[in-house]
Amino acid sequence: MNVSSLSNWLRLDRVVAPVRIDRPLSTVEIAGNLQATTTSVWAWYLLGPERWSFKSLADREATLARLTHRWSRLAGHQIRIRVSSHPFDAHDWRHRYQHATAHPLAPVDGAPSWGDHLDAATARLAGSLLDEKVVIVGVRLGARPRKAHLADLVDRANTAKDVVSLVSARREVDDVMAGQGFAASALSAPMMSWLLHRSVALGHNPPDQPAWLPAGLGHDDVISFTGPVEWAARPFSPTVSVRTWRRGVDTVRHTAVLTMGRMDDQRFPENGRAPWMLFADRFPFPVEWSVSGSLVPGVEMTPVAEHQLRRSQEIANHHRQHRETPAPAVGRAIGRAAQIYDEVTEGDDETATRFVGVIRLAVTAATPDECLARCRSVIDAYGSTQRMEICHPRGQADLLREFIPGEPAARTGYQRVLPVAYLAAAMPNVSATVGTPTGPYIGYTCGASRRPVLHDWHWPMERLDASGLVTLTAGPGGGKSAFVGLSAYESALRGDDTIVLDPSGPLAALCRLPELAGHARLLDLSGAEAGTLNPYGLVPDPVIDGRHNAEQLRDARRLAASERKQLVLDILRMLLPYGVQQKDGTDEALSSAVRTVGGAINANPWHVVDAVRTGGHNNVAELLEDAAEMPTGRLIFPDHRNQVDAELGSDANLVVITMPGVVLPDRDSDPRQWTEAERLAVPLLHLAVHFTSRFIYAKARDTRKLVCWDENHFFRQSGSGRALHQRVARDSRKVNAAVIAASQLPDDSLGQGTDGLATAAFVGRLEDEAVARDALKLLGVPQDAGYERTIMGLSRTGSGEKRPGEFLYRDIFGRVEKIRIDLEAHPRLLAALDTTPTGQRQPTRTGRSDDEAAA
Amino acid sequence: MAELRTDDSVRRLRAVWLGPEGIRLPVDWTYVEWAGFLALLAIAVPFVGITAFVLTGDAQLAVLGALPFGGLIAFYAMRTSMRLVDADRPVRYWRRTVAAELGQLRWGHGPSDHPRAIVAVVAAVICGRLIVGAFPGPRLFWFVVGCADGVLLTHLAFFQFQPRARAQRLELARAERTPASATTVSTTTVTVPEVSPALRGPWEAPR
Repeated sequence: MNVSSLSNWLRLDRVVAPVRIDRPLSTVEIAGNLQATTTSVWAWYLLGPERWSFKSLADREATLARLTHRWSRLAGHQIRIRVSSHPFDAHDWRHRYQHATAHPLAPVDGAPSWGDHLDAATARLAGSLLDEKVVIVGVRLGARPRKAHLADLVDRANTAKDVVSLVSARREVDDVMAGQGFAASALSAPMMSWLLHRSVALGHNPPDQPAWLPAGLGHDDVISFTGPVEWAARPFSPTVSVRTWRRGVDTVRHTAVLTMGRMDDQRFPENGRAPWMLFADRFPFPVEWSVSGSLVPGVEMTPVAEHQLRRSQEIANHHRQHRETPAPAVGRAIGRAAQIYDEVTEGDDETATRFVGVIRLAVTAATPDECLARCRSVIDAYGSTQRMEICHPRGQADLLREFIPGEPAARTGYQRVLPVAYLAAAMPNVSATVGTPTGPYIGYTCGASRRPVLHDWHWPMERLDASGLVTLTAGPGGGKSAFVGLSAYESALRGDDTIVLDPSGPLAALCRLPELAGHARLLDLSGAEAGTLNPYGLVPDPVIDGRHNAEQLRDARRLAASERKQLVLDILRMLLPYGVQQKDGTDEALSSAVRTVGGAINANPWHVVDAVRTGGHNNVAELLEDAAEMPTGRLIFPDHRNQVDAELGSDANLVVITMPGVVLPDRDSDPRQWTEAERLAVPLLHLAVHFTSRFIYAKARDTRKLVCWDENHFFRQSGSGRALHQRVARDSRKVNAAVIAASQLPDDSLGQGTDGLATAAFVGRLEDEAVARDALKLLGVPQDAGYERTIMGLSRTGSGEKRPGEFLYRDIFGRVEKIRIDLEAHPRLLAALDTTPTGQRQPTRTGRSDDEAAA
Repeated sequence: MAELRTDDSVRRLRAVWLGPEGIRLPVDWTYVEWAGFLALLAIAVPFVGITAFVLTGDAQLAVLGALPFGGLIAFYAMRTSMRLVDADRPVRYWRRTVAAELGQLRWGHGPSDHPRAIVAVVAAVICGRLIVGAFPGPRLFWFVVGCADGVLLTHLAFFQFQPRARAQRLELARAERTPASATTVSTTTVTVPEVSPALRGPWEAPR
């Protein structure tokens, strides 16, 4: 019989079999944010978010100083910091988003509907590792009163000495926690319940906390937290298995608790490292934190510091007694001990206060092996990047218990003694959250952590009375067009009026998507049908909606007719060569002809040409006929001389105007030197701009509109384009029109004089450092702080691999984060908007169209 | 902003005792190491002496050999154990940790099953006494043998023939083997192909 079989026969393995660990909670009562344990009363608070990314060094130092001050104000209290996360509630988002969409497009057979679109986005959100961080701080108020309940602290009815003392302590702590830096709020009853559920079963989804949850929980209610949870571990096991039975589902997760060892001396924030607790957000799995200890004021630290100083000196003296030179570490320790003594005796509260306690991290996985692998990655990353030693001690069950609010924490082993500034440098409440509280899901943050990003284009106008102008800047291949396409698609599918001006043309694919095709109109200015831009049809008649009386309606119609006549006059003048325009009599001839034809919506420009000829100005009429034969002129003149039936595009939800190949003259060039193509392009763009203007201003003021200017610089070349851009940017709030101004260079946006109106900005990858520096202005990020390199490194990995769609995003509140546009939920849309050249020759011989080939 | 420094460097300083003034000891041990060595010496020397006496019956040999061999054992035991002791893991930390972990040993079928441990000790003493009375020779030797028999018998009684403990062990073992997607509803185990998004945690989705 060998040792193994003997061991089996003796069942020695059973001695170390996993043991169920049953330990009752110390919590005996909960009232609001107050928790009574068997010995103490704690108050729990939810920390407010703090900005860190893309701030200047001075701002970061100010943030650190603010937090240091806030922590030092809690000196004399025991504290607990619990950092946890809960998955983004995709179903709640879906419900709210659907509720905010009153009139989505009607579904089309065989094409994804609005509901399908929402389902896909919801599935994407629910299936991604996108979570929301929760930072909760507990402060011990004092010993638990013997003959009072927590309700007495809330009601303040009990006048017993210990209760009054606790009430006073609570008021003081409330004030400190609500101050700048923490911006904390008292933990609500559902959140308190959530925290206990989450902490008792780390790695498991806590059950939903109903809003009607009573604020008070008694001793018997506390059992509900531990009842469906079972911990089990082998002796000296590196992990603890946590098993839950919730909603009829039995789940087992394995949790390992790590603890903070030696921490490097550092100059922060100058060293550029992330705050040390925030760093854990970068891991591709959730990391829970529990910090338990005391904030010891300088007065109480003095004897300790004195002892350490004497001890160091005694060690040195002892060596000298033996005529030996002490190790250099002894000298350093004496110097440091003297400095600590000086800090705690002479320093102010921020300098003197020390945190004394333990710092734990918990990692969870489905299997012990996976859990240990995650532990290794945490230990490695912290060691190499943050220069902090993370240890994996034994006694896991006791360590895990420290994560539960109110449970005792170890007072020996891995005790950290830190100046309070070092604790403040952890900054667990730094938030990567950007965007609007509601709205479409556009992507996720990909900097310090992963958070979903929602951006409602109309939120600034409808909620904040702010402008709806958003700038979008990225170099070629930065994902600009795909983002504009996603926004236009989402907006159109929601039933909002959407117009896209895309000079180069790839966004025309939106109009071919079956779900939008019935509600979309494509105006291709280089290849549309003759008469598409008939100026008379561009100005619709006023809508009879019951809000106007007959006289007002008559006035509105008269105005529309006048506008048509003015537009036709302008366009026909532009079609004439510069010399003819300047010639005496030309304007009179055109004006007379336009007046003769009138301003009816169904009028035909050919009627004006005929009227010019009738007026005896044959050369002007012939020049106009020549222009009408040009490809661009055909768009203005129909191929017949009858009355035109309908107005243009008034019923379409989505209008995409493209003009591939159209060349505009340089804005500073002499009109006499313009080529024929350049001269004819000017009225075309003028008409396109006018059409856009009508699309925005002719609709009801409250109606949501989205205007997407792709390649903004193109429109900047024409006076009418610049004028409309500025007008819409200034009027966006009044007409509820969100404007996306996309361009390849930041100057294209900044030069418009409307940069001050932009309430949000997206900046993608830019190659040139000077250009990137200019783009920082759009983001409101300090220049020359190294962030130019961040812009230049977007959308590209270290190996040179492209990851398009990365942007720096400044939201309406001025928060800046690195985000990635997420089109994974909509592969059809992604394929339709993909502008990356494949290098494949199109199969033209078979006569198949590009779309068929792509299919 | 000033440099952020912990107070660790002072606490980590090794307080070495080189010997009384004028006498330089050959080793640079800390006070804790000295204390540990002396404590282990106090255990190892009598242990070696008694063992030598039990095995050989020669008291002179036992007394002469106890100090050098006990000292050697104490030295190596101290060197080995003190590798685990430092400023972050003081002796009291290990004492607490080991006590907590040993508390989880299955002396019966649960961590709070102290009566069974008491039964084991009582059984060991009774067996020792019986065997000492039954066999001639060194009484201590036979007492130790009897105690070991008692512990063994108690162990077998608890672990070989405990249906309740066996059932619980099997349940725990099954729980460890069960993947996250396998769920147990009442007494029936069913495998769910995909956890509902509403129930799925962020850790269960590949990033």
